[in-house]
Amino acid sequence: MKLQFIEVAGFRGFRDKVRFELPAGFAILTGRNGSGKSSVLDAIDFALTGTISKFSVRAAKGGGLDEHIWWVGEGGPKPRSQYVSVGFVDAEGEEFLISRSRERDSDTTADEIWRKLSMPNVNMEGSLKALVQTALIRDELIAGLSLDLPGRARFAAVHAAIGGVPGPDYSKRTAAILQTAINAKDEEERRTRDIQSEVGRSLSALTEARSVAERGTDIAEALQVIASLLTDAPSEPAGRARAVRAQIADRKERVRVLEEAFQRRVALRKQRVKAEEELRQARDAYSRAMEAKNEADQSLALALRMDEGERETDSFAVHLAALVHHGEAVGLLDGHCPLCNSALSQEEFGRAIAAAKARLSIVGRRLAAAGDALSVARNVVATANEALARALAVTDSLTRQLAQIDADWQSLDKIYDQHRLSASLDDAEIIKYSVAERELVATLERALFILEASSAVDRVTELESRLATLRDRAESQAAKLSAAERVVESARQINASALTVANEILTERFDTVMPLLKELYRRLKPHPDWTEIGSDFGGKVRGTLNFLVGEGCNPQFLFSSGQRRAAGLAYLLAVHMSRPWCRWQSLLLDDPVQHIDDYRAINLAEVLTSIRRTGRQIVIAVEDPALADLLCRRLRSSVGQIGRRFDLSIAKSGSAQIEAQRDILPLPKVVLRYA
Amino acid sequence: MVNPGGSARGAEYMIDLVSALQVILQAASYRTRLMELETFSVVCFEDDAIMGFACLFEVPATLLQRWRSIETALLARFAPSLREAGDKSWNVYCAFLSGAPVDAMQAREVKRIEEDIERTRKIAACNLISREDLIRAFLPILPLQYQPIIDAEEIGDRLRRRIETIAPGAVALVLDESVPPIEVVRLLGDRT
Repeated sequence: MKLQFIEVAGFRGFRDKVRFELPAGFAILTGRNGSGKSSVLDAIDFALTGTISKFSVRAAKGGGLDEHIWWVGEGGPKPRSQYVSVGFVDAEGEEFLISRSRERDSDTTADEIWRKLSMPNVNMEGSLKALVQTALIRDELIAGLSLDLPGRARFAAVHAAIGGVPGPDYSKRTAAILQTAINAKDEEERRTRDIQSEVGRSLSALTEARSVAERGTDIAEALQVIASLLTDAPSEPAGRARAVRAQIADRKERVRVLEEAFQRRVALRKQRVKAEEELRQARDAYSRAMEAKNEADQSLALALRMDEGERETDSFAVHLAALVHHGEAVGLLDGHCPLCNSALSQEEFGRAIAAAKARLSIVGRRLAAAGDALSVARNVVATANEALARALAVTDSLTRQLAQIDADWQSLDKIYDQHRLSASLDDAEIIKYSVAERELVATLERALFILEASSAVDRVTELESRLATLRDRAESQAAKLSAAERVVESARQINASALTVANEILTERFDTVMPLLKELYRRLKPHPDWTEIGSDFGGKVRGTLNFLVGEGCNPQFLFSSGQRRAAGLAYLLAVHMSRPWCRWQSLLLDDPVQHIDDYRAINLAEVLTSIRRTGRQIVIAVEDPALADLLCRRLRSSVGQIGRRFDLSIAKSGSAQIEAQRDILPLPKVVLRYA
Repeated sequence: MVNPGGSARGAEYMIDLVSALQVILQAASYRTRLMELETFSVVCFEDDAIMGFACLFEVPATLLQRWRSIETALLARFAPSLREAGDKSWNVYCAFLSGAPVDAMQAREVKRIEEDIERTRKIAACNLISREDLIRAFLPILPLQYQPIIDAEEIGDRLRRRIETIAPGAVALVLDESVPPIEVVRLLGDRT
């Protein structure tokens, strides 16, 4: 894309319509001061950006820039129309026109202009401004935009020129995220401050409430009681009340346990007395049962012996009965007893037989009696055995009962031991202790009641509760704030990365550009001794770019005004040549040789020639006609890319005009003849 | 200061200036021709816009002593051609070259030759022992040597890698324009 024409009317120094048809090669604008050279280049600036970027002062006495963009010359009729039209054409012949008039702004939007003049999908902030700044090199800006800039501003200028990168520009997004994170953190900080303020207010109120609470007489006594009984109780009322409540509950439980133990102790003691008596009786019963058993055993042995004797007697009696029966049956034999042969009467015999029978009857009765006695004796033994077994069982049972009582007693000892009481205390001492404990509990309950009944204490308690809640909230809020700060840090790093990455890419790009800058510097030869230039990038997020010559010297302070301009030109031309995003292949220079000597002007012409050889269109305004001649001869007119020279002057009407216009045609190809 | 940062030089590194110069000029689309003037070798060169003569001297002292007379002789020698050249006759270069080293004082005198803009544009250089030295001396008439080719790396690729190290797993979230920043901040908070 190159400039095709510039048409102005009523713009800056041009009152009348003037049209500059620009060839594809180069155009030289020359003329005296005020002849409109700069206005032509201003027209391009204005068409693209809607303003003239070389003027930093927007408002001033006598009118600002807006009042001086259009023709303000005195005398003569006002211009019939006031507008600027700039035409572009690309290599395929496609044309693109931008017009702005005084009456209305351009029909072409900045986005449309940018899309036409830049590569696709390149996003740049301040795109058209950067486009103009890198295409149009003005005398006013050569030093200001290059060597005389602070390092950071120079970096920003380079960033604007070659920092455009394909793909979305995430820096706005990451900046928005960072700002949102900061806002969120600020909000959390505000909440934290609010809570802390509330904590502070609550603490003040609590201090006052505590003072009031501690001034009451009853309260003072209660506090004294509590202090004497709870040496380690907290000083703050709520904590103290909690401690007292805990102490009361503890002591009540202690009294309950001790009293239960005491009752158990009494019961056990009774049980033991009873059990011991029963055991003694049981042992007596056992002894008696044992004696009865022994007696029964003896009786049984006697009965057994008697029974055995009777049974032997009974055997004799059986024989005797048989003899008696036989004798009775036989009767007296010759007056003699058939059994003993004694001389007996019948009567005597009868009496003898009856006596024998009576004796036999007695033996029978005695045998029966012996059997009965044996049976009785056996029963008695059995009964005695049973009684003995029962007595033994009772004794065993009571022995175990006593052992259990002893064990229970020992468990009571443990309870007493746990409560630091001697088990050897007598009942009266234990009762006395329990009573004392009950009185302590009552004292504490009374003290607690006094404290709790006090409204000041209520207030303290309420404030303490509130303070505890606030402190919980403060803890929670501190955690939130901490998380928000971490998010801010992450967002800050991400945002810095978005900038850093862009700057890294820019630095790498500038490293790519640097050889060209060095070459242009060598060509322009700003300084006879410092023939090489280097660069130094600094800063990651807010980058800086400084130039160095020699052993790390800053040319900004070494070089003269003209030398700085020459070095600055090398920098600006290198930047111009290195724009990856730009389709517009025109280099515009507005009087770039001011303050530069003839030798360096020739160097510049040679540099521009080398740039022309890349196929770029060059439009240059110079005041010196000899320099214009030099440029016409040097800028290499060629077929299809010729040059054109415009000699501008001031017409009688005061308007700038084209006084002469001449095409610069290609030079003869072969001149030198060697024959 | 003469060639600050330059390496130690010696005659053993010297190139054939005549040949090297012709190669360099021809590569830049100049037509060249070698001729003798007095005892000096002269490379004549010309393209569509420029023509010139490069005269080679053994030592800088001779160069400093003879450059003006050589210029006069060359212009006289080619006067008929130059008279027919029209505007091109303004674009005549005279180069005075020597491969031998110079002292500081001579170096300044050599530089001053270049600043003489009478009649022809001058190129003067000594201590020429490499092709790069010659290119540097002839930069005024050579095409640009360096054309920056700017890498078109997408910023997003590099940024994604960087964010992954800062907030692992949050890349898509951070760069997704459809997710409101407040939501990104909330989710970053959850992740931390």
